[in-house]
Amino acid sequence: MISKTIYKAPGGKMIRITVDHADNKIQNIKITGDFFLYPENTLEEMEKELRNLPITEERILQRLTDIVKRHKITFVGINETSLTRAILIACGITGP
Amino acid sequence: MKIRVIDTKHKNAYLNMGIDEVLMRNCTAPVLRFFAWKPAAISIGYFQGLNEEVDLDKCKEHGVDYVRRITGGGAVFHDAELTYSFVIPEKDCPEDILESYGIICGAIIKGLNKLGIDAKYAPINDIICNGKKISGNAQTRRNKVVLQHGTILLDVDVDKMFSLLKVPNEKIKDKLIATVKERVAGINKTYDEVASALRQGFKEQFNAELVEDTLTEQELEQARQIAKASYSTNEWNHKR
Repeated sequence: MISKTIYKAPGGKMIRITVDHADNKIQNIKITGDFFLYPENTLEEMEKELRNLPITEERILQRLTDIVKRHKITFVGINETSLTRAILIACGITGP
Repeated sequence: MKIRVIDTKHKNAYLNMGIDEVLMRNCTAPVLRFFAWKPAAISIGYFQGLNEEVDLDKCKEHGVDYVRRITGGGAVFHDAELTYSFVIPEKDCPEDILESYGIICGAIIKGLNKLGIDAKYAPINDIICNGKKISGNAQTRRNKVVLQHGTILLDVDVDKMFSLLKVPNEKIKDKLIATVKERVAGINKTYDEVASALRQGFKEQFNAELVEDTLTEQELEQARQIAKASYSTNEWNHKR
């Protein structure tokens, strides 16, 4: 099932999520928006590494935190928490 | 510090982005560039979805180009404006990204102040005057070089802008247009007036000597090649 959401990070930028999910797992995800992320080419890697992940707040946040650390990512206008929230909203797990 | 200053005037969207990339690739010392867009164009942030943000049919109908930037941030309709780019070796700029935004936007603000404009930095990446946005800015860093480019709005046609951009919810489009009209403004100065004032702003902010220059034939040729191979392609622009 493909679902989408637009979520504005508190005090920050807009995050758009398009997620294909089934059996409470992320199959495929596209993250777009007007945020800043350095280095830029790591977003695609992040999307790949979110595949097959169970859709729970703990697992998503944990994976994002790990990706950020490994790829030395700096966010501006969003962070791991707002991204997690946007993904959960898109999957219908939590309200906006 | 010496800053090389280049005014490339009006160019098309693809060449404009190609020139920025060439200046960034070849950067060994700071360069300040002024430019504008002909035809008018929409640039979208590196992470934005082209089809999510831009009405491509309307762009074609109005002869407006569209291009993906190498910087993050939002979609911008480039029409009546002065655009600048500033490239500087990372060692000459704060490591902290927000701090460096503040310093480079500070140069813009000093320049605008010289035109009697009460400009203020509105983090993350805007400059405002009387509560209205007059400038948007975006920064990237590659191979130890910082590129920040941004726009100074001379005039704004919000209705035209919204005929070209998609909005998340069509039902509230009118309300959104009304809000943007209240929150965004042009500064009602000419391109040359602003370019001249910004020169002074950068000179003061970086305690720099300005060296007036032009693009070399080599740089221009390199930029044309990048524009052709990258910025004008569907592969790049439809990347997300």
